[in-house]
Amino acid sequence: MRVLKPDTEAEVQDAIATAFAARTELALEGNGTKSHLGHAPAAATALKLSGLAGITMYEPEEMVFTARAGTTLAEVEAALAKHNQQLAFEPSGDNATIGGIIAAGIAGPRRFAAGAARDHLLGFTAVNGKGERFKAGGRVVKNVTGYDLPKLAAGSFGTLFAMTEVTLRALPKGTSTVLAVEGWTASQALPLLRAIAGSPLDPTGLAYVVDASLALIRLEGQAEGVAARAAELRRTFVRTARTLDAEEGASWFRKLAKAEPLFAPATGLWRVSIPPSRAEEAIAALKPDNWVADWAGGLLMLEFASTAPRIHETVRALGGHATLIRAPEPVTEPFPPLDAATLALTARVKYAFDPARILSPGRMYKDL
Amino acid sequence: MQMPELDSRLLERRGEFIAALLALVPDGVIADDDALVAYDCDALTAYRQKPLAVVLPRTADEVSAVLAYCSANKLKLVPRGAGTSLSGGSLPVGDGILLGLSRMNRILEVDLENRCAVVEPGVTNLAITRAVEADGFYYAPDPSSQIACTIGGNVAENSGGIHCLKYGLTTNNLLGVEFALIDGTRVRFGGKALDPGGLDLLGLITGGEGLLGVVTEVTVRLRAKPPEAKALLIAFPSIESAGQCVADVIATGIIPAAMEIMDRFAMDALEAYCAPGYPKQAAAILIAELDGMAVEVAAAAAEVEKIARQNGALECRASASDAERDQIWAGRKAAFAAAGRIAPDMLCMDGTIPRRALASVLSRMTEMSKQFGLPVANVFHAGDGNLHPLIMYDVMKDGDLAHAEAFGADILKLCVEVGGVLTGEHGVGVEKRDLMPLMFTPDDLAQQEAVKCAFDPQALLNPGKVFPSLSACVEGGAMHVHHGRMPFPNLPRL
Repeated sequence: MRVLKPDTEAEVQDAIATAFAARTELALEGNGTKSHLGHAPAAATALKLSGLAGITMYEPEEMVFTARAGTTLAEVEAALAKHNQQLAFEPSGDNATIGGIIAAGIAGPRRFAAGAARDHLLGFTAVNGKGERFKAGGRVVKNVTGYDLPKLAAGSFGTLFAMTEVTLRALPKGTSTVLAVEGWTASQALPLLRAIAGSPLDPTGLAYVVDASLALIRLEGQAEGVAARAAELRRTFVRTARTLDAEEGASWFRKLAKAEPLFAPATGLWRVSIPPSRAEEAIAALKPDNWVADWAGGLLMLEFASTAPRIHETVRALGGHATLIRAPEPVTEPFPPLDAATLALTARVKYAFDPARILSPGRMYKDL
Repeated sequence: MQMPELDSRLLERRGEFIAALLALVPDGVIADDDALVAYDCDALTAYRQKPLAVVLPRTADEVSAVLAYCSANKLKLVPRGAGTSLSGGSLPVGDGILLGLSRMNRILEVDLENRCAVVEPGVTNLAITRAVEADGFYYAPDPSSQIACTIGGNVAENSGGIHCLKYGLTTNNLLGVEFALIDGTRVRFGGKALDPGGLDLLGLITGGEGLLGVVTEVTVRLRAKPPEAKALLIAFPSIESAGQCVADVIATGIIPAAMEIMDRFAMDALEAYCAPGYPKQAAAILIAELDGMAVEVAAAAAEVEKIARQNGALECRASASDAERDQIWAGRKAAFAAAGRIAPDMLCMDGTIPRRALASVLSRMTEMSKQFGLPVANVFHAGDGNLHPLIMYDVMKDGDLAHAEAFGADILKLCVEVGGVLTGEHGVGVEKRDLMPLMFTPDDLAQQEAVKCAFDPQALLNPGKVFPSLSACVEGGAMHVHHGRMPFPNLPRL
């Protein structure tokens, strides 16, 4: 595979404009840490954006920063940590680029409470499939000026445009407490997590690790508030909840964010987003070899030694959708299949940005 | 502000259209001239135009049928919820119909276990909260028009409210919609599960201002009501000190549920209107709301008060009950009405700036007010930088409206100059349409207009709104056909 690695936005524009003129397909990537998601790139040339790096603006008092899309997550997090701030959507992958994190729609355990990448991306600059540079959004949260293209950018896997610069919210890190409930079965723990999610305790982590019979509840915020809520949780829900020490608690949530450390190597892993009340049904119908529930049961990570039986149909019938994380053999539909009308609309939206279909063709859907 | 020229071919067919629409929506077509007057504008009352007819469907199937008919007959349409838009988002066009969604007002499902509700687009924002509050839940985005505005309209405008800093806008509280495309097809984006399965088309159409399709069903996220909420009313000797206090509070990591600043002019207007008892010597007041458990509210309130005093606060009152909290807010909620009493007419602007620019922007506005000879009061969502300058004028005075609009445009230009945006929550509509080039280059606008073409290539939905130029969506010419093969050959074209 031929690799293009521009160093500046102008070079990105040049590379794509040239490709557009010649109808050369390009597989977009940051550092390539998410290349296992979706279909394998069909394009013969990779456009690597990791050369566009550096934080160009950071105003902690305004809770906002701008970085070139190829800046690593590690660099972003280190800069924010100096001011006790963070990316609230809890992405993971130190070597991943911030642009790639957004394009892959990566979010961690806090997603159900604090939102995903799409809720924290305020604006961006990009180059579309014709080599044209454009910007969208801004640097403020209250912004309804024009179409909300940042929402579209998140999770678009490089199929619409190449982001060159992104502006995101930086939110305060609070005190964090993780409580563990040990020895409960899934049928006891999942309803507990749902009940806590619907309470004013404002949890930012609600997970269940079935092979450890371990439910994990995270509370974050101002110190006095967190302590009061932890006490209230014990009083109202489960007296035996045990506070984990800081490092143990943080370690569990890091594993949940990455998912793979919780499972055996080289097995099939699927990520299922589901209405939390249907989690038990999904597990019963799909019979995974192992599983972990996150987002109060709204996210199931399912492990299969071999293929997952008719996972898309089953999950769709329960009101959810399934995305492949990894599989021992290629899978025909790593993304949730779309109905005809939505697929057609998706194609038209792609056409609006990439009419010659040169940007990461086939990455999400074979024909797009 | 010019609206697109009327298409006489459409006007000529008015009778035919009305007959056809009556067949599709039997008891839901208003065509009588006098009755149409009631629909000739929304809350941007300076601009009025009667539509050809008003169509009020009761079901999603009726919406689809009407859209399919419009599409086949190139008939324009303007969707409307409750018509509370301050930017002319549902201003009718004379050669199109007004599609009112207010009859679709049923709450279809309340699903507390999954913390969501499924409702029709004509349900009011407040009605959603009312339906779930007895169980300890609420729907967080709370625009000040919430008693009247519809959730479908909220989706189209990506509406906000005073609690955005902590709880987000509509787009951050939306799980799914059913969306009718211009040809009548309905698609579902999202649902009760988080994250899209594919591109975030839900996020794209939220804030689409009725230009991309029509919302026929909405799934909203519900939140548990915090056990306690306390309001602090803090008086400052200057706008600068109030603004600095806000910045300092945020720097500690506390994110209050709401933070509002009012200037002296707004306070004087309020004093004359409803005497809320705000401190008379203050140059600015800050109302901060803290919510959560009692212990953390108390701790946060103490911290905010300490920071306020460090910034020279003259006075700090904290509510000790829900009634006292409501009283503190009563003045802020009456601010627009109070300002509206001072002059015969008022333009309510809406721009967002970085918080740190507040003092300098307000000071520039004072200068501009003198230059334009028009008074302006300021109410400011301090937490998120969303400004609402209230410009007072008299429409009976020759040229006063144009003058007020020019003043408003200059304010928005200033917002963009300091790193902000043209509109924080009211939308672009017609009001700010011609100012879009202040924020976006021709390439930026062209990219957005291309998105419009993906949804509505004939430009039938909400013409004359948001984008300054009518761009044609040329299909065959622009599309590259390689070796005789169309791109995406199996996919249907609109």
